[in-house]
Amino acid sequence: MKTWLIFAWRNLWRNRRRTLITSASVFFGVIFAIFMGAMQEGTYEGNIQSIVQFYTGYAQLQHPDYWEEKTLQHTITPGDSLLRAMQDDERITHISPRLEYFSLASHDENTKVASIVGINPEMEKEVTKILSYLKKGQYLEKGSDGVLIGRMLAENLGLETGDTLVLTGQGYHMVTAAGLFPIKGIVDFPSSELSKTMIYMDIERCREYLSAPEMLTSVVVMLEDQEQLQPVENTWTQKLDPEKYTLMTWREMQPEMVQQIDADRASGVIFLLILYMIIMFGILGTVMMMMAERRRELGVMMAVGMKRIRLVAVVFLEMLCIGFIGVISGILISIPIIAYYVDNPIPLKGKAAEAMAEYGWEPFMYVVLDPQIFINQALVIFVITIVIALYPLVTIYRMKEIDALRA
Amino acid sequence: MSIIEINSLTKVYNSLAVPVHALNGIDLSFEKGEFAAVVGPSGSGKTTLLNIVGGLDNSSSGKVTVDGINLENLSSSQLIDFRLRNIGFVFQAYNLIPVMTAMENVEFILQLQGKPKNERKERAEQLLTAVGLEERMHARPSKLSGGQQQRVAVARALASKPKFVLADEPTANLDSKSSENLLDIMEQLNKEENITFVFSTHDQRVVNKARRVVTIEDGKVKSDENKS
Ligand SMILES: Nc1ncnc2c1ncn2[C@@H]1O[C@H](COP(=O)(O)OP(=O)(O)OP(=O)(O)O)[C@@H](O)[C@H]1O
Ligand SMILES: [Mg+2]
Repeated sequence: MKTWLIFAWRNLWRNRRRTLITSASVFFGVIFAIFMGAMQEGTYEGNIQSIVQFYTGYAQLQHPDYWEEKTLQHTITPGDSLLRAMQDDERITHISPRLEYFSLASHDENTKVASIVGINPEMEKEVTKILSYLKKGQYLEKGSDGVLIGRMLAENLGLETGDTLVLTGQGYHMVTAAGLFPIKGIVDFPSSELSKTMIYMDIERCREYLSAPEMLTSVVVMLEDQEQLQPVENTWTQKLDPEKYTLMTWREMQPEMVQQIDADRASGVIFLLILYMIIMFGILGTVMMMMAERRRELGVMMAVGMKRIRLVAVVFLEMLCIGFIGVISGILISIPIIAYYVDNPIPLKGKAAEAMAEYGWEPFMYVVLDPQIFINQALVIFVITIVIALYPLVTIYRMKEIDALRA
Repeated sequence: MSIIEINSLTKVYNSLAVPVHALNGIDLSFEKGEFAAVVGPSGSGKTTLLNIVGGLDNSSSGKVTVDGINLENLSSSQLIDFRLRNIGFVFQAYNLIPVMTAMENVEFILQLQGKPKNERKERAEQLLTAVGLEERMHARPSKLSGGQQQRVAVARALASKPKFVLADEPTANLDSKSSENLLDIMEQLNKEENITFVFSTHDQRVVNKARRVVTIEDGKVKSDENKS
């Protein structure tokens, strides 16, 4: 085996330039694919992070029917023990209980439909970025009367901090809900959707207002990252009483996002396929030239007793070497570069940045250092090599000694 | 029993518009220990004959038996193995694997036979010494003269202890001095080790060294002369 490896290796350096050019094509292809993968996955990861931190969290504990019909009939009343058990799960970084419902918000002559969210201020600020969006006034305190209001909703109603907001609507069991709430702060959400509708208040005040003591519509669950989602979902789906609870993941709550990522990945795959095709034809061209040049030599080796399968193996080894010089150097070069950009996300400017802000995404290009991306590259090149190896395989098996010797 | 038995061997090349009858019924046999030259004008069929005897090409009709084995009964992969164990080859030129040293070229055959490293090395050294290349064992073919390359080829042909060595115009690309030198070495190996050589040639001086001269013309044996 060692001899054949040395043999293959020396054959590679017979035409140094060609070997290097072919390896370089693999190298650049691999670098390109790795960067593309790292940026794509990084972007998704970034988008997911933003979107979950923005509002939904990675998952939410809800009543099984709440997502379909968001009424106060479908609330949950998890005891402290359940909440504590969730907090004790190491994979769960934070939780935030919420009580959400619709009401009419009025000031002077103006009335708008608003989304009322009762929160535990301390817990909520760990889960979403609400604190960083606070533009004027102060954040909520536990037990206080004040509310936070979206900037556009405040503008539409002509409200300023210190003004009083009138909320009217229906509470639990169709009870009339009404109340006066001082504006404590104005929150400038990057999404106009939220900015136009959101009103946050302390959860206890909200329960009073909606006559819904002890009730919650959801408990937001935050994780370190996306990786933990599946295991956490598995554990908790088993533990929870399916009559009372369900754990909705962001994937279920944000199906458009999932679709968008999947579609984007698919288009990336097409792009990569084209790239790999180019690499493949590059290697194939080299192999064809190599085989043509060495026809006589292959004939001599067969004449003196080298089995065809061994000849194929040597050529295959050569191809593997070419491929792996490219793959390994590509991986070695890209790891530190990607590692750098993992810690230093690339800031985006201009229209793209604005568009992203509009969606509540941070205007950064994120990259991830996912070992899977590197493993995939090595695997793809290996598979390409095997496919191309069909050429020498067929050529060598169809070759007649006598014709090869005459070449 | 003769080591090579050729009976009514014919070969027709059909690849061209007009079929070429390269061999028209050859009957020949070679015994162990022979040092035989196959001669004849260009196109007479020497190469064709040696290739068929060496199992590199197939015949159109007739029978070739090597050491009692009818070559026709062997599949193409069996033939490869058969050649490895029974026949040594020296071609006209470009015999050697360019990325291997003289030593490795000889070892190569032993490697194919699965011989252990130390045995390979010992035998390769011994053979290269026998062909007078003890000084150049670690040179690659490109660093050797044509005559030296052919001597390596002879050493390689002997590596597997074949039943006989076939050499198709081994001296065609050599000057007269190197030709003579190569033939001397072959003759010596023939005498001392009783190795059977069958070679084709155009060179009268090479013919003179042979103990048996088979002359072929138009694919037929014209004369078969034993000088010993
Ligand atoms: N592959 C082939 N296809 C068609 N005809 C061939 C082929 N190989 C050889 N021939 C023909 O067969 C005949 C014998 O050729 P061969 O090469 O055996 O002669 P030779 O005696 O070795 O000649 P030389 O001394 O020139 O080497 C010639 O007429 C040649 O043209
Ligand atoms: Mg010839």
